Formats: sequence, C-alpha cells, structure tokens
Amino acid sequence: MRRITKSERAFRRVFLHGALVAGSIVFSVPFIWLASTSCKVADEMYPPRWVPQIPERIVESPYIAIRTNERAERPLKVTEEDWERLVGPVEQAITGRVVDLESQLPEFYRPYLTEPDLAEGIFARLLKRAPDALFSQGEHESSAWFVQLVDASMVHEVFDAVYRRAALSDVVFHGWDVTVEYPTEGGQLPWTRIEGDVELIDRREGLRRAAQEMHYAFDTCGAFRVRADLPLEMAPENLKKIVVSNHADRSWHEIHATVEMAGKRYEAAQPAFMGSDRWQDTTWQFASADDDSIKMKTWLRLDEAGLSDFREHGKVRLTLTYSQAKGLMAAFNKYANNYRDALRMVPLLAYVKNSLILVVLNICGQLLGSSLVAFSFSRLRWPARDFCFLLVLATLMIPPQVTMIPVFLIFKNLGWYNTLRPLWVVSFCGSAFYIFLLRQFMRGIPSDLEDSAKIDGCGYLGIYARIIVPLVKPALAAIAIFTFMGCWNDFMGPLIYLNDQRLYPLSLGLFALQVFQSGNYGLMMAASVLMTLPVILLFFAAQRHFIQGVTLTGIKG
Amino acid sequence: MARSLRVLTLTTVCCVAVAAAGAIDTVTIYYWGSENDALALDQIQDFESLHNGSDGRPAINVIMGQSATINKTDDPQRLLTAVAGGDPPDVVWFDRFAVGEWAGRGAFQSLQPFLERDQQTCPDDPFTLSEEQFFTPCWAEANYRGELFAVPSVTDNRILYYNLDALEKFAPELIAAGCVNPDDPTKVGPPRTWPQLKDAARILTEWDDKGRLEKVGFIPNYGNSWLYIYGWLNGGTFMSDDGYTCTLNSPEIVDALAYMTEVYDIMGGAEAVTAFQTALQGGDLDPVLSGRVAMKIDCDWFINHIANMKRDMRFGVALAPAPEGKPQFGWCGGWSWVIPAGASNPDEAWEFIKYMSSQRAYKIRADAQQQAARGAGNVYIPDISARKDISAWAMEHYVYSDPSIDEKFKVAKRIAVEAMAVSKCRPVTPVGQLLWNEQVRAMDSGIYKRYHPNDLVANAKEALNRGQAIVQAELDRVYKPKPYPVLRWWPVVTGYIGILVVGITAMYLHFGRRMQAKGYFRREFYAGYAFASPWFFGFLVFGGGPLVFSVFMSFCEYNVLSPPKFIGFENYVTMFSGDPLFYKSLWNTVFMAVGIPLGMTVSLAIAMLLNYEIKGMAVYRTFFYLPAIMPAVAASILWIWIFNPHEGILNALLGKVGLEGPAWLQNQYWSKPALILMGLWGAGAGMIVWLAGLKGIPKQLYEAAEIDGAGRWHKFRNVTVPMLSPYILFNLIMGLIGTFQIFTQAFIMTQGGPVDSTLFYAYNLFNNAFRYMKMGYASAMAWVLFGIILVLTVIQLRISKHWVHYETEG
Repeated sequence: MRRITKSERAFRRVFLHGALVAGSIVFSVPFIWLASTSCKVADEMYPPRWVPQIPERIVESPYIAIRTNERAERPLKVTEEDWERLVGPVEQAITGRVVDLESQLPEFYRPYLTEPDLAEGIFARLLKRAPDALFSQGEHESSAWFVQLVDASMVHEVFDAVYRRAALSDVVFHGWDVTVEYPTEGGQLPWTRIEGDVELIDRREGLRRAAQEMHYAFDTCGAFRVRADLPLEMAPENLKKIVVSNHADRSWHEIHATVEMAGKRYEAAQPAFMGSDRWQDTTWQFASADDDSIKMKTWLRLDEAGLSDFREHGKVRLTLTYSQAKGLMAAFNKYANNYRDALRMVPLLAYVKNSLILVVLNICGQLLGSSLVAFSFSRLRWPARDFCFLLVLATLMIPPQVTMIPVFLIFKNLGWYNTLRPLWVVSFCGSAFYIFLLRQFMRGIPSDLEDSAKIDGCGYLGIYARIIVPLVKPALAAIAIFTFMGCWNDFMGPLIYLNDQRLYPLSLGLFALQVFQSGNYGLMMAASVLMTLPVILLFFAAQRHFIQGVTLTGIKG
Repeated sequence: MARSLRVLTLTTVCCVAVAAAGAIDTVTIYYWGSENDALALDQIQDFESLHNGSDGRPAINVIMGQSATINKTDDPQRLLTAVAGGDPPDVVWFDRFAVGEWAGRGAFQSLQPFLERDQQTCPDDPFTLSEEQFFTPCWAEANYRGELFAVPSVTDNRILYYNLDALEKFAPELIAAGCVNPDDPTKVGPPRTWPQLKDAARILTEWDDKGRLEKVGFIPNYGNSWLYIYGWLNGGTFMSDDGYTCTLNSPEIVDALAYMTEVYDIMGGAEAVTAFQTALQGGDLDPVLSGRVAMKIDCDWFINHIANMKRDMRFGVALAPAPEGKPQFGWCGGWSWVIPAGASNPDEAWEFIKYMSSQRAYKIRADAQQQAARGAGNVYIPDISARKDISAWAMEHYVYSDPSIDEKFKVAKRIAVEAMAVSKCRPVTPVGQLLWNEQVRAMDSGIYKRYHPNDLVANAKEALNRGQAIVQAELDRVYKPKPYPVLRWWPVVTGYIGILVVGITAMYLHFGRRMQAKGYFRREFYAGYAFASPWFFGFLVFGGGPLVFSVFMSFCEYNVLSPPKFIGFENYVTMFSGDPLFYKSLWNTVFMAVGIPLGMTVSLAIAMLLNYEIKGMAVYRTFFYLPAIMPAVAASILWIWIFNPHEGILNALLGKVGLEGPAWLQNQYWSKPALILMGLWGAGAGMIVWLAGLKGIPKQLYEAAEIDGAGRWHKFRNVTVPMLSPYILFNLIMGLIGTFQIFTQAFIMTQGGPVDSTLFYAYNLFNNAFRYMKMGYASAMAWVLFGIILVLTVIQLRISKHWVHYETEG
C-alpha cells in the first residue's frame, strides 16, 4: 500500500474543509436570506440586501432623516457625469428656495430648513416628473426648473415625511360591549410631563396631524415619563382596550404603559417600541380570556399590578414611560421585533403541544409499523409477497388528491372528524415510502447473522429486535427525520380534519393567522424561522445516529 | 350616582342573561370567513347580541373558522371535501364569479325560498333583502338559472390608474398623441382610446443602455385586467346570451388579443415584460406608486391602497380606454356569502347572511377600519358595497363629506362608483373556471406568439379557437348530458368485498397447495403474515377502499357534489384523443425526469463528501440539509428573486463570466430547466438516504480493495456503487414517482406558465379535480399515471436484477 505523506494528508484536509465550507455557503444561502429578512422592517425589503440595517443611535429627538428607499436616484438616461455635476447645485438651490419660503412655513421648521435630507426629499419627488433633457442643460437652467416647482405645500408634505419625532395624539377606549369612546375628541390633547428630560409641545399646525410632540434627550437620564388623565364614561369593568395613536422616531427605545383606575393599577406585560417613523396605533388590552384564545393578538396585555391611589370617578390615568435602548439594545430591539410579534400574536404553546403530540405518535408509529412490515417483506418468505410489495408501491403512485375524499369519508364515519386521530393512527400501519426504504436496507444485510441466531434458537421476533433493527439504525434515523419534517410541516391534513382551533398544530396555527396574507414579509419570515428551527436542531442531534450506525455495522466483520 | 346606577343596570342585565341562558336554545353555526377576520369578530358579537334568544327564537352562536387562503390549492379542496363529506360550514365567504359554477353542480343551497319568504312575511324588516338594493352586475353574478344562490357582499370596479408625475415628464409627446386632460386640452391627461393607449405605452417606456426595461408605460395584463376587459371593450362577449355557446373566438375578442400582443411588442415582447413584472413588489413598493409602471388597469381598491401607502402620490384615474368610437366601462367582481348544500342550520345561516349584508354590519367594519387608518395617519376610503343603497351612503359618509380626504381620492372613487351601473361581470356559467383558465391560456399563447409568430391576428385566432373548443366541449357535456346510468354505492362496496374474498381465496388455493413444493416453511409463512399485518390492516381499511373507489370513478362522470354517472371508457378516450393538455403536461413531466439522474448524482456526491470523518461534520451536514427544511412558500419567494433576469443573483453571476442569462421562469424553454436547477439545490433531502447507505458499507471492503491495489475510482466503481445499488434503485423509483407528482413549485412560482411550459401532470390533474370539478376525469388521469409509473417500475425492477447487488444473495 502506498504511503500517504504528512503534507499530503494536510493538503487533503484543507481541500476537504474548503469544499465543505463552499458547499455550506451555497446551501445555506436561503436560510441566511430567511433569517436576515426576518430582521427587516418593511422599507428595507427592496432592493434586496443581505444585512438588515442597524438602527442609528438616537439620543435626542426630533431630527431629520430620509428613508433609504425615498432617496433621489439617478434617472436612467442621465449620464453619471451630468448627475454628479448637477445634484449638488440643484439640491443647494432647492435649499435656498426653501429658506426663501420661510415666511410661509411654520416657525418650528426654521432650524431644519437647511437640512440636506429635506432638500433631497423634495428633489426626489420632483425628479419623477423631470424630463431627462433637463440634465444636459447648465446648472442654472436645471436648478431653475426645480426651484420654480417648489412651493410651501410641497415643503409641508416632505417635511412631514422626514421629520422624525416622538409624538402622541388621540386616545380611544373600546368596551367589551362594542361601545367606543373618544376621550380626546375636540378638546386639548391631554399629555403632561411627569419626569425626565422631555418637553411636550402642542403641534396643531404645520404637520398633517395635530399632536403633542415630545422633545427629549437621554443625555442625563435614561428615561422619561408622560401622563394623561382621561374621562371614561363606561363602567371601568367594561373597558376592554385602550388605543393610543402615536408617532415614533425609529430610535427603537422602549415604551411601557401603566393604567390606573378605580384604585387599581395595571402594568403592560410587554413593551412597545419606537420602531416606526409614521403614525401608528398601539393597543393595550386588559388581561382576559382573549389572551388564551386563538385570536390574533395584535394588542399588548395589561396585567393587574396592585393598588393605586388614583381613584377618581369616571377617569382613567394612563402613564407612558419611555426608556432608552442603550448600546446594542436598539439593534436588538429592531432585529427581534418580528420574532416578538410572531410569538406574541399566536398561542404558541398550545400549537406546539399539538404538534409535539402528533410528531411523537407519528414517529413511533412509523418506526414500529414500517420496520415490522419491511422486515416481513425483506427477510421472510411467504406466498404473494412480491405481489403485495407491488401493491405497496402502487399506493405510492396514486396522487393523494384522488383518494382524499374517500379517505375523508372513512374517517368521518369512524367518528374521528375534528380529532387528532386521522393525523396519526395511519402511521402505525407503516407508510409505503418507508417500507420500501427499509426493505432496501434490510435486503442488504448478510444472512449469516440471522442464520446463526436461528441456530441458537432465536425466534423471528428476536431476529427482528436483536439483529435487524440495530443494523438499520441509520435508516431509522433518516425515517425519523423525514417523519418529523413531514408531520411538522403538514398543512393539508390538519386543515381538512380539524375544525377546533384548539387542536391546531403549529403549521396550521402559525400560517393560518394571516401571517402569510398580510404581505408583511418580515413577520412571515420570522414565523418561518420559528417553524424551521426545531427541525434544524433535531437534524443536528439526530445525524449523530448515522455515525452510531456505522460502528454497529462494523462488528460483523 | 348615575354611574352606580349604570353599574347596577349592567349587573342586572348580566344576571338576567345568565339566568335566562339555561332556558334558551342555542344554535351554533360555522362560518368560514374572509381573511380580515379581526373585524368580523366584532360583527359576530353584534349579531349574537341581536339573536340572543330574547325574541323567543333560538339564540345563535357563530363560530368562525379559518379560511385557508394562504395556499390557494387548499381552499377548493377543503370546501369540496367538507361538502362531499356532508359536514360543510353553514356560511362561506365565496368568490362571486364561481357561484354559478358551484351552484350548477348542487354545491350550494338556493336562497330563493328564503328571499321570497322574507319578502312576503316581513317586507319592511330592515334586514330584508331585495334585488333592487344591489348593483345589477353583482346581483346577476349571484344568480344561476333564475335562482339566487349567493348574497353579494363587496364589489370592485376596474379602472385605469396613471401616475401624473410620469405623464408630466413626457407631457409634450403625450399631448401630441392626443392624451390630454378633457377639461384643459393644454395639459396632459390619460389615454381614452386604444391607439392613444398604445402610443402612451410607447412614450412612457424607458430602456437602459443594455436594452433592458427600466420603466414601463403600460402592461396590458398587469394589475387586474386580463383578456376579459379588452374583449368586452371591443364589443365582444365570451358566452352567447342563452349560455349554450362559448364565443371565446369571436372576431372582437380575436382583435382584442391581437391588440394586447401589439402593446406587449412595443415594449419588447411578452417575455421581456413579464420578466420585468416579476421584479415588481407589492405594499408600499408597488411599481405604480414608485413610478416604475406609469399606468395600469386595476380594481378600485387600489385607490384605498394609495391612500394607505402613499397619500401624497400624484395620480389620477379614468375609465379603461376603449377602441375608437366604442364606449368605455369597467368590470366588476367581488365576493358573496353562500350556504353550502347540506349545511345543518340554513335558517340561522340566512339570518347571519342578512345581518352581514346590512348597513349595520358594514358600519361596524368600516368604522373600525376608518379608525385604524386614521391612527396610522392615513385617510380611509371604504370598499364598494355590492348594495347600491349602502354604497351611496358609505361614499357620502366616509369619503365625499370628509374634509380631510384629498380631492383626488374623492374624484377617483366617484369615477369608480358611478361606473358601476355600466360595469360588466364575468358570465355566469357552469364552466366559469374552465373559461377563465382557457382565457388565461389563450392570452398567454397570444402574447407569447405561440402559433404564428409573424401574424398576430392569425396567432390570436388560433389560440382562441383552441380555448373555445375545450370550453364548448365541456359546456355540451353539462347542458346536453347523455343519459348515463347513475352509479350506486352498493355495487362499489360489494365489488370491493368481492375482490377481497376472491383474492384471498385464490391466494390460499394457489399457495396453500404448493407451499411445501415451493419450499416455504410454515412457521415463516405465518410469521411473514404476522409481521406484515399492520400494512395489511392499513391497506384494507385506508388504502384499498379509496383505490378501488378511484378505479370506479375513472369510469364515471363525477363532480363530487352529485352522484357519479357511469360512462364507460369515455374519460380515457377523451384523454387520449381530445385533450392536448394531457400530452403537453405529460411531455413537461417527462422532461423533468432529466432531473432525476442529475439530482441523484449531486446528492450522492454531497453524501460522499459528508461521509468523511472530520471535525465539525455535524455542522456541515446541517448546513447542507438546510434547503430541504425551508418552507416551500418562503423558498419560492427567494427563488423567484434569484431567477429574476434583471436583478437576480443567478444572472448577475452568469454576467460575471460573460454569459447573458435567459429570462428563466418567464421563458417557455427555460422555465423547466430553472425548476430542475431549483430541485438540485434541494438535493439535501436525498443525501440522507445515501448517507445512511454509505454508513452501511463495511470498511473491510475498502481495506481489501486497497490491498488489491485499487485506486479511488476503482474503489468507487467496484465497492461503493455495488454496495449502494439497492439505494440507487430506491432513489430511481422514488425519483420517478416524485417527478410525476411535481406540483407545489409550479403552482406557487409559475402557475403552469408561460405557455403551459410548467403545466405538469399532477398540476393538470389538480386543476381537473378541484378547479373544474371533473373528479372522474382526474381519477382516470391518475390511473393512466399509475399505469405509466407501474410499467416503468416493473421494468426497473426487472432490470435491477442484473445490477442491484443484495448481500443476502451473495
């Protein structure tokens, strides 16, 4: 035998690892993409990027920033040269024009009028109707074209979009009996500062929506607190949820709510985050049976948290605490956001429980049923065996759609509709695919071991349990993985046989909760990652058994 | 004081309610609702409070089930199964255009008796419905053969949207082409006629320096237009007035299709345009919002979308352009509520439907949506109710009278609503789905110039003639049924039992006598049966019955909802003689078989690589297995992006080595290779079986070979391959079966297109079974498929005797 030198061995190892790493990269692309998309917010989705944006560190607010997908882009027919030449001057001219319009603009715009992002926002908007020929002209002419179109209303629109601020607006109360109250309608907005470095400013004009802006700075302390005492006409026990309309500044700081009424205090069980840069409604709902139901939980739960000295009749006190996301917390808050939503919105534990029941029963059933049958087909001789084996294959070939209805009728007549039974009982009869697979494995095992066992007086059950099963362990591990995956991801079966949502497995539960319809890609990908992770972990753990299989096979030499 | 009184009252009411609850009958109805179910829950609560039993009638409790619209394959399967199984929900929210088809097959209860009863007994009740309340096309779509089968809920109307910024950029050219604002001819406006539309599409389209589309003026079938609207605008109809003749190939529609093709050609042909289209996104990245597409025909709810996503967009709407001298109008579709046949509580279901179509229910939903929109800083623009009265009220209440809504939205919505009166709807016919699919197919063949690449009209004509023939054949089957005998169930059951008895007896006689002679041991004989008994049990109970059932069905005309009729071999005859799609789908599937050896090679190579014993192998294996774990929907979205000809990474990589990549999924010749490629990447699943097989090869064999001086290749050729041969056989057979059942990727990624190039056998079968409800034909297809696979498998098994090496036989 040729000797392998040390260097050759090292070279082989490097080569092997290289190939494996390259392959791993190719094959994990989809998963990386899945995971990265799950950390994105809506406006990062397009154009596709691999690394989700890391949020900027925001210590002071408000500030001006333009969304990345709203930046000015070079029109196709415009040469790079012209573009480079003109962008600067045109944006400057726009800024000049905006400053000229100062008298027509609200006073609070003033410090921001020269911000480049504001000019870029206006430029990007006008660019859509700018003829390409404009860019082949001189600086002056093209600037003039843009400048003449800029008016106060356009500055208003763009300013509203780039002005990142934390603000609060109307509050709405919903009762359990479907009544709705608007405690902030008409009057003053009710928020007042309690503590922290924050200034509340009434903003009635100049932005699309009247609100109270919160100008804050986290230089000295890491939190501030605002409060509103609101009139409540309905009985306190009828109050179901509180909806607060608010504008955030993409700082990913935390918002924590406390509600006090009739001498009791309620604390939000989950924080909200300042992740958006638009108006949004945040809903806090009092703990109730709804939390255990199958409803899509778009609200944050309020738990009872002791007594309060606020017991004014017909009033509710709502306190919001904004606390700074320090260091990497902002990035974490952003990246984990879709996961947090997915986990909060569905009754995950109930679904996981059902899925686990099904998975365990199915794996047991398949391993037992299929291996028994395959043993019979491969190691025992009996009349019509090969004919029966063809039948096994035949059941594989018929598309499932065709037999779905008669199978459904059978289960329904057995009284198993709306139980988990149709989803696992059949597995104990073995499935054609696994029977076939195991038969191939078992046929490959030499008969010497079996013969000697027979001579020693071992029965067929003994041969099956002591000799064959240990030898096909790698195949059984493979089958366990396949079964797990099939069962974990099965959508059609539960959909047809289950009516009661408490019986839903995870696949149906997660997917059915509109995650896949709402067009919210980030949330959908987060749900997919959550679905996929257990399978990856199982695979990682189970593939050890392949290795175990070889040591067992090795003994027979 | 007042407050405590209120509390007291509330408590009393509660107590009374609780006390009374024991005495009241409660009827529970099941509702499969729309996807927006959070709002329906409020409506249900309100409905239940109206029907709490206090009026002496039973209280009604509504349980809302999931709708399964995540995956459109599941919806019809599920409802059809539930109806056929006799356990349907009581109320279903259903696509209105399919009502006629399902009603014609007996899937739904007629609502006519309820309607007439109400009009006689309680004509003044606010919940009573009547025809006058509804928009004419909506009502027409819900009726089949003069009977009401559904109550229309929401509707939409198709209109032309244009991005004003894009139009202004090219104002001089467009004005010269006649696209002017009707109020001010010096300003640019939307096209009104087909020639103008064509010119505008050309003017507004921009290419990059490589000749690739960058911005598109107008895509005939983007948004929501299809051949239907062009056909109607050109004065065509798709069905004769009596409904017995399909007129898909009438000259007006031929011209309409030729026109669509012309517009595609202006922009470089259908392939380039559809490739451009796949890069487009929804949500706030919608290409019309961003200006990448200047104009489109879409439903009026896109106005609501603009209000939600880009309120400051400069846009306008107009009626869809028509051929010169012909009237402009829209096309409406929408949803409705139906009661499936066999529902347990039709009376209560009817009450629920009446409630859901009332203004009261509409208001609950609209108020909640309005509040949500306002909370997000947007304006709220409601969907159009199918009821004229509610629609008029809602538009006034939520839109026209609201000062915070910009004028452009009001104008746009007014155009859409006022055009409802002249709107068209798809013909109500029992072959509606087939007509739809054939319309899509003909359009596809037309714009891709499948038959006569150089003669648009001849090509359109050929495409439409073929579609018409298929629809007409089905129509004749439905309307002029031959007097076939109805198949009863008892012969099927008896037949099954008979087969079993005969089979077992024959086996006993055959083998029992020859047992000794053949050398079977009695003990092994019994053990064999005992070990195989789980499978026998499963086969007899869950497997054999359905198999025999589908054999019988393949000789029947069976639409699941009415009893099967025995038609002999007709299904098979039609399949082989009169169904071009059968051959097309068979060919597509055979083509995909190329992927089997490729996939096996790749996964074997991977398995061999992963079979080395080095550190970190567990991690590597997990990485290689990742693609097999990915959920199909998520994986498909990724691959659509990878295959995107402009922005996808695949063509970017090919570009790096100097190759111009094809349009992959949008090209009829490359779509199948693209799917094969995608399959290769999922080879990780097959790798497990190989790996398990490799682990079973004793090391001594390699050592012995090495001693004999074998090199790497010889070890592979003479040890690995023979030892793996049982798994090669396994993978071959499974690969074959798997190939013939390819379905999901094609369904999600290409919907069978372009030009039927990814219409695979299983997809075709699914369409027949659950789209066209031809379960008998689908069963026949399944058995032909079975025959093909069986023959191939038997051949493989026969040949395998020569090359598969089983240790036992050695």
